[in-house]
Amino acid sequence: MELEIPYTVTARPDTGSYNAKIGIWLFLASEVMLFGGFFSAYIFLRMGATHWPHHLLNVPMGLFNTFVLITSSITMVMAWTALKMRQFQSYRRWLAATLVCGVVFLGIKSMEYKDKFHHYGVILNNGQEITGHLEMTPAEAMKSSTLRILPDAEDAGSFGYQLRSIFGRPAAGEEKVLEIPKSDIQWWSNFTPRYSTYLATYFTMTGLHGLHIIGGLLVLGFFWGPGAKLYRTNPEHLANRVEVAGLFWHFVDLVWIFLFPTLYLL
Amino acid sequence: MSEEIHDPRKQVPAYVKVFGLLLLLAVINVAASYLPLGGGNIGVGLLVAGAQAILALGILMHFFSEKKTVHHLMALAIASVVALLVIFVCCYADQLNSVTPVK
Amino acid sequence: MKEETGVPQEMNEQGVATGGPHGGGSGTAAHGAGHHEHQIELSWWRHYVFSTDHKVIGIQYMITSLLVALFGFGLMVVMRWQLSFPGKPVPVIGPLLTAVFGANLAPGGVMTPNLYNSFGAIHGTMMIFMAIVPALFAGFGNFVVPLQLGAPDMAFPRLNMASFWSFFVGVVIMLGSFLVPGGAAKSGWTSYPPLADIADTGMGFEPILNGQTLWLIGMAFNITGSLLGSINIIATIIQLRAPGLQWMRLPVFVWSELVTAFLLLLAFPPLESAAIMQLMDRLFGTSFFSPDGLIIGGRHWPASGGGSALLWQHLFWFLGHPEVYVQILPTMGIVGEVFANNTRKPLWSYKIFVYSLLSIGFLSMVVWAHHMYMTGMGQSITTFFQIFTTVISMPSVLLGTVLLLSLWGGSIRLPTPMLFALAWLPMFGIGGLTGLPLGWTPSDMVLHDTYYVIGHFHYMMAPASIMGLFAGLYYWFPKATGRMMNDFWGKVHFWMTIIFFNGVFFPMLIQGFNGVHRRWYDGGAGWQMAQPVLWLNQVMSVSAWILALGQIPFIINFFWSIWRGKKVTSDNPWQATTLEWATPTPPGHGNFLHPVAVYRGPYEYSAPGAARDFLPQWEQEESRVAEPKLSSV
Ligand code: HEM
Ligand SMILES: [Cu+2]
Repeated sequence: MELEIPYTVTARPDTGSYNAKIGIWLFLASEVMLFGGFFSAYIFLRMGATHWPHHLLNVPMGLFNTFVLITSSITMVMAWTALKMRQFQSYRRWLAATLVCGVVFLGIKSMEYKDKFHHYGVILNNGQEITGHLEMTPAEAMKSSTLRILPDAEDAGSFGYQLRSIFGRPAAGEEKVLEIPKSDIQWWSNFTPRYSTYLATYFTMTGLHGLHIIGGLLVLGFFWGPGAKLYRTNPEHLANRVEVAGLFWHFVDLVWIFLFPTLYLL
Repeated sequence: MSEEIHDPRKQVPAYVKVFGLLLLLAVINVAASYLPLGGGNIGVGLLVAGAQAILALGILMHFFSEKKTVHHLMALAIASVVALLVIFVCCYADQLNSVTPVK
Repeated sequence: MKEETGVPQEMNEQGVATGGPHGGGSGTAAHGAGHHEHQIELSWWRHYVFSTDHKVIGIQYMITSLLVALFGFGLMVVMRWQLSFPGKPVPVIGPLLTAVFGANLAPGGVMTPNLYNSFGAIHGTMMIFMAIVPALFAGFGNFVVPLQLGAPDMAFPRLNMASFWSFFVGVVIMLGSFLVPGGAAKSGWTSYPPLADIADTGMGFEPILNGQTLWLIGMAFNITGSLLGSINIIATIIQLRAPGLQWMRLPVFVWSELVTAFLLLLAFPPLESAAIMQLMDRLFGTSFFSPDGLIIGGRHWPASGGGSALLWQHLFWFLGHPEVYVQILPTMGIVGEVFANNTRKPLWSYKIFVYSLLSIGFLSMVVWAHHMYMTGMGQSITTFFQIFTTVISMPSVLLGTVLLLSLWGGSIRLPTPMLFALAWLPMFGIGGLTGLPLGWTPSDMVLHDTYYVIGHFHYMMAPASIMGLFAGLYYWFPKATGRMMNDFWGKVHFWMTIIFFNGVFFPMLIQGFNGVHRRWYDGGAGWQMAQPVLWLNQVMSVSAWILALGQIPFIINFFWSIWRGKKVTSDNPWQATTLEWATPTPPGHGNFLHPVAVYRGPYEYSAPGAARDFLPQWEQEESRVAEPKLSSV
């Protein structure tokens, strides 16, 4: 640009950082507080809840996604290392691997969302909760005065069952389809944010996290494609920029490291 | 900057170790969540996640080798978020007429 | 973070010539960019609209937020009519109200309760988030901070532009929300749920284009802008200090901006998260803030329940309290600058001043629930918040004391900025003292949600903050335009403002003691109990209207002076010591004609043995020239 700002590429001696690095850490500080706001909401809602589900989400899928993100963190830092060593081709390869991981993560996440939208919950007037799948179309369910629901298996929360359910719904066991008159029902819906405060936190936090992933992918994609041209004129500057983008990416992984146990496991 | 002094390649073995540890801890965390520890589950889960966070922050994000300025900034952020979370818990716990949640 | 040696090494590397910026040679660029040429032709758009120059952005912020302030003030002036003459058509602009807001909200020029609530909510929101904070923090922060640091620009000029435009979009959305069906948000600047969750929904409202949803979206833009701006300010202060400008040589205004920026950075995001949750509640029917068994209009609210309205209050006030300090801290800095300059002596204790600023910053993160004493908090946690609320008033008092003692033995000059700065002090005093009873539960029980609270915080934000704002405007005006504002009209403006500010806000304290509730539209039965103090409504309203008239001299003076004001004859018309006065007038892109370095603390006035009564930070040895000439850009 027109004007040269000091310390865009080299570090200021007394602070040991170039400007963008200070900038990104400040940004991360604000992100800590943003997710901190959500976690404090999680605490508040959970402490006030009469019932908080366990292992409702598909743990094997979540675990796999955790692996994917951890891997992407490593490929990210490898991309930066390569750039520091001035190995341009290797940098592009590692960065491409990071991008692939990000896309895989989003793909799996959207499968999980879709699963949840097909899953239903019913709360009876006596407070009892029944979860399962509709044995009728959603449109019918809206109109009809009774709900036909195939309840979830006893062991639906177990790791093995959830693992099998990824590859198609496991064969039904003892359960029989229930017919519940709507007059007995206090609240029913599929597993969308409005079903319960637990799902509201789940969708809001993972949704926001997903947006961060998308943002990170855009930035990293830029440095993989058009942004990489900077390598020819100022490789050190590019390395700085990739480091900064990488810090953001690591942070997004870090958020997931906390989201996974709080939402899937505990 | 530390990167200028050290050869960035020297870090690679550390990254690989962190990679392994992070995966391992994730598995441990999942396994621990199936143990019947009652309220202890939450403690274990957060502890393991905290360990993972420290590894990722310290080594992958080079936090351990950053200079003071960054450390101060992050200390401030962590202090604020801890204040936020802790005071929230206290506020929840200490309410007039508070209803004890049905377990 | 400190470098303790006098001048750090990079200065020597660049071979900075001794003798300060007037030493000779034609314009070389600012430090760090030795041979760079700055006279680059920019298109009109890039120069004035999508500019990355911190000074232009600062002025954009300032103008936008002054216009917003005028608008917000206008809303209040109309509300004061309703309070004095309930149910009567608003004179003069009544037909305009009907035309703009429709016969539903303003039939025959009369304010309906809904319109009153909209005006109140938007008055508060816009004044706080879109007028005072952007003007003080972003306007002055952008214009002055890089100059005082000796920097060529902000650390991230393009980000700077983005933050202004994000803020601007927020303002447009907030203003536009008046025009959607049902009118603007009505739930106060605090947007408390469950009311705010259900407001503006149902029959006759659009799903997204309704007041409360637009309020949330507008705030999201505004918050984003604030966050980017505070990152920029902090990074600039950390990274771009001129050689020799150690931490304890920073002007107090820079310190105040630094603390403010940290408060915004750390306190705003939780409100952003809360805003997202409220959006979810409104758009996707979640129950973050809807409790179990919510019944509205006799029917169960169709939501799962299980949420907590208190959660919103906590998240809101986690920002809300730091936010109120965000509005006063920059003015503390401004007043400090103006005091030192016009008493012609160093601040009584620079160190105490700075440490007070810092401790106010820290403490203001842990007092937020003093806004919620009446929500059924338990005793231990209220005790915690009462203690910290009391403790935070100590650094505030220290700050005031430092300023007061700075006057002692000074040879005080009284130009307009100094008048405003002087008046800031007692106004801040009243604001702070009225805050204390609110900080203790026994008295807050009586005063909460009365006009007393309104009086308390307006003393802080109107007389105090706005006095500081004007002090800064009159003080830095010559640097931005090369001309002085007229002193006589400035003084007229000052007296009108200070007298009628008090006319508006002091009676509020009295009404509050008598139990007048802060949000009543016409009082109804409640006002019956407050008969003896109702006449004060007229006093306040008339004061408000005269106050509005009192701003006319300022507006005219401002524009007249931009083009016609007396030209300054020196780059340093106030004979000040800080770096912004080492630039040409007005400073060009890149700011400094020569690399600057700093040789001493910020307020070396009346040093014993010196020929002049001020020693600028940038002069290595005292210059022999009595008054440095005006340098051309
Ligand atoms: C000595 C320092 C201060 C103390 C002890 C203090 C205390 C309080 C307390 C306890 C309340 C809550 C009253 C209630 O709702 O019952 C309050 C409200 C408020 N204060 Fe202060 N305050 C102080 C300084 C400030 C400053 C510096 C500002 C702004 C520049 C400010 C702005 C406000 C605002 C805006 C509210 C009301 C918010 C609302 O409910 O709409 N205060 N203050
Ligand atoms: Cu407060």
